[in-house]
Amino acid sequence: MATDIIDKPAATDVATTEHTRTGPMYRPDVDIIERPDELTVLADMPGVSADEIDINFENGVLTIHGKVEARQSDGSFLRQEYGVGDFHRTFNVSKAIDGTAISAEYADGVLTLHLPKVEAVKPHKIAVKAS
Amino acid sequence: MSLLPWKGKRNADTWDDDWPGSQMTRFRTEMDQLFENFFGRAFGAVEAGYGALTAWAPTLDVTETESGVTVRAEVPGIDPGDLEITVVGRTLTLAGEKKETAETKDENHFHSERRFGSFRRSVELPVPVNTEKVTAEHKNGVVLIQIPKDPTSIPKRIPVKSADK
Repeated sequence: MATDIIDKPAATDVATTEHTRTGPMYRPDVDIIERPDELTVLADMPGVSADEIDINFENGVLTIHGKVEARQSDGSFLRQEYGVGDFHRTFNVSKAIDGTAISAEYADGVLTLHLPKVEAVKPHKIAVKAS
Repeated sequence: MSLLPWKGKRNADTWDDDWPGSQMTRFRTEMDQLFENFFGRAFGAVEAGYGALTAWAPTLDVTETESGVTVRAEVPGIDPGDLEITVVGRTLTLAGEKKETAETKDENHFHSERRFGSFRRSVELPVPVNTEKVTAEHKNGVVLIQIPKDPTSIPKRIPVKSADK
């Protein structure tokens, strides 16, 4: 399921995309924070290296995909709580976001996406001149 | 577990800063944590002691090889300096805090799923280990702890000599 970043969904059939890679996929937990000039998306994606993250923006749909290398099964498992699989999530993004200016960084297992708002919706302060 | 209806959707055309959705999100998360703590305590007693009582704790994988025990923990968003790893006897303890960064703390949360807080998990290791030679490596939000077994606990095969000649 695609998460709406801004309420009006831009596309409805996002979740039906098929994937060629087999194995489990995980939906990373995200926080979305609104700032005056942008939306910031923080996604927990542990075990991914920065160059294995694909971010795509197309027709108002933002897709993040993080490839996680399979672990070698060295020895026998005594406790297995987290599975290994790719991270994948899609977002519907409104037209209030400038899709061409989206930027991202990754540190300590957390992906940070910056989604700048288009000029028209940024708050503008209008100075009042004394006459 | 969601107990409150989510009515935080807003009109994309208005960017007012006093939108009540962020407070609702926080309140909802707190309520969820409260209920999960309560029911986790009451019905999940089997897992007690393994982080089930805290709102958030990293997930662990523990593997055993011939020479040692390997522990992997998912710790996204945690500064390696905020992780405390100790081995006492046969018990490995992983403690730390997932902090909300100062810049995200008081802002308008549009959507909130990630969890924060301090945690402490202890795992009993299957064999006596060499506590002097434990190593921990942090990479991409995963910490890899390698604990060599105590040499006396590694099985040693004794060759049998034939006495009859």
